[in-house]
Amino acid sequence: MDKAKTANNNKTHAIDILSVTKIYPHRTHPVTALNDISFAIEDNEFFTLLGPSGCGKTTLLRMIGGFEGITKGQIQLYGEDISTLQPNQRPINTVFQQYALFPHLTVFENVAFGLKRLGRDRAFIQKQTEAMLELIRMADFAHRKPNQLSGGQQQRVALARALAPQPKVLLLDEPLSALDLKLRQAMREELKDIQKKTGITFIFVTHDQEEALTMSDRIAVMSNGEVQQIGTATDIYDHPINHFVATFIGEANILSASVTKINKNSIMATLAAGGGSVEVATDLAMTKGQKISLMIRPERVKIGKASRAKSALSGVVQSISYLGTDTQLHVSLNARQETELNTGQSNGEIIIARQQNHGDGGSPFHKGDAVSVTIAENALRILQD
Amino acid sequence: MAGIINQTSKTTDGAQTSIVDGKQHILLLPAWLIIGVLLVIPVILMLVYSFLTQDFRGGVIWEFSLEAYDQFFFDRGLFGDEPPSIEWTYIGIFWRSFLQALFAMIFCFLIGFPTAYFIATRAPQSRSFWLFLVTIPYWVNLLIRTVSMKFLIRDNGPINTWLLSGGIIDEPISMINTNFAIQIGLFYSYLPFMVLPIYASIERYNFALSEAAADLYSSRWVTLFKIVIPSVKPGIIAGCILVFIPSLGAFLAPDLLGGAKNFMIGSLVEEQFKGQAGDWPFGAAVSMILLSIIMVILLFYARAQIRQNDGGH
Repeated sequence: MDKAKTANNNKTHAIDILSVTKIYPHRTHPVTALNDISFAIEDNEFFTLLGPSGCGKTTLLRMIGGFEGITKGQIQLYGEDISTLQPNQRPINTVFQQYALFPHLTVFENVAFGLKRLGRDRAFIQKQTEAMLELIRMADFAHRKPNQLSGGQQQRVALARALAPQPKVLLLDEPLSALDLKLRQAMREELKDIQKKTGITFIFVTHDQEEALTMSDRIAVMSNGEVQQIGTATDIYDHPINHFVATFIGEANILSASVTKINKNSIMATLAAGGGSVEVATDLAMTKGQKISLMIRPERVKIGKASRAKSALSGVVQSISYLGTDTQLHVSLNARQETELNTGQSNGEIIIARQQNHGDGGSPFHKGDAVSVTIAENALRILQD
Repeated sequence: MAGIINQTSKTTDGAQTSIVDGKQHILLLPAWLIIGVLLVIPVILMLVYSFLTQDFRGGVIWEFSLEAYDQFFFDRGLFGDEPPSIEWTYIGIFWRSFLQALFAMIFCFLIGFPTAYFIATRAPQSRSFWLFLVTIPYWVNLLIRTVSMKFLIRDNGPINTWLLSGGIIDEPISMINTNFAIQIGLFYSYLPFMVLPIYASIERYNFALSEAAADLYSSRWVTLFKIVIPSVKPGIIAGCILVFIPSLGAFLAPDLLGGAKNFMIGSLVEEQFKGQAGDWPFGAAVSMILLSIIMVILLFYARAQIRQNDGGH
């Protein structure tokens, strides 16, 4: 919060979303697509709106582009209110999900379309369009029609068409979702590269977490019309703020625990299942006895031979799946020894662990093995809900 | 490249034909029957009639003659013994009919396109309702509709009465027996033929293209002319053909609303086959000339289409 305020004073953001609300009116069931969200997108940033379908990310993008009205709030572009401007009055261009290339125009005419409408002189249009086709390596296809191009080529033309008028902000609405996997991976790098080359602020919408993590400078994770967390890829993966973010990005073990001791920058907590005391670094205000949710990523859970070491949790391997680079183990945590009232029910919480494979035939463990479970230091995160 | 593709497709077709030969012909029988009975035989009949001699009690005498075509193009005086000069009467009727049909087509487009656009942009569940409204008048016979139009626009009809009583005009506007009346009749008769095909193309139109155009700094008008109309062009052309051609041969509207002064091709042909005074070979010849002109127009259109499609390759 403080950070945002000082940034606001020092320089202008590319986009400011100020208390924006979007309600789709309906006689009986009005739908709130966006609920009072505010954040800023920096100049020259590759910013991603990530979330499941129906979370409001596309609505927000369309509002920035001017295709949807704003129910309440304001959107600013470099400090100027653009909320009431029509799409053709905003120096913002869009790469549409299904590309929306003009079928009756050639590749060249498609790319030149925006420049023509802006009334640029012919020589400039020619030069700029050629430069754009060069940028996307499509110069040889200038006189083709869109239906004579492959999906990847159409995608690149859509990108060139949106970049040609040199917009201040480029919006990308799930542009890679229609491509096959290999092409998608290649396009990620190309997009990132083009963003760096052109220096234009990119706002990218996707439901694909891998896409978001690999390309973005910052990511806003959205769900239910609200922004859950904004941060870099590592922020969001390593320090998810709540249950939704933790489980939406990658895989997560959520363990319930109760606070037993409060130190200066950390707390001690006891896991509800499996017992064992863990130390978690936090600067959140906590009270003793408070119930909390702890998150740990599967790759930070260490599985070892059963031991009597005091610090380790113990459990039984329930299933093993070989995933190529990793092996995933589902381990049920044993009930705590002090409270052995329900020993018959060995089945406590399941913890998922991931071990890297080293080409030596996978995991040394088998289903039913008793194992020790060690949680790496500083791997536990407190979730705020 | 195109040649190679054509050849391959030809050989594939050939192979398929030989496999399903017998069955295919049985299945095609209804189509052949319709084309044969309703299209080929009547046209051949008319073509043959146009080269026969007129029987003065109506009908034809089976004797070859070019008299009908000669009568259309040349004036040989009252007794047919003067040196031939060009006969302008029928060419004039053709010319007037073309203009009438052209204007009817333009008016149908100017009203039909916004109507189709309006319907196609309603919520899917209410579109059929609007289409229903457009087609309601067509549940009534064309003759009755045309007669009621005559009733509406005549000098002491409801429109004039209303305008007079409202003090908007001092004396009735004479609309009946004018080109304007014919236009109203044609417009009213053929509007749905414009609306429906355009509606069908607009419904298939990808409205993301309009958003993309707006995104790329186009105003609404520029989007309409540069993106929407070119994208739905096949529907517009279909609608124009469907309005233009029947308008060209229409006889009800010109007869009932246009009066004797505003003769059109349809009425000319009708007159030749109606009653005792008719001249069947001449009527057939006029039809053949009209058909040839329409075919030439359609051929030019088809060639232009092919050339445009090739341009993209």
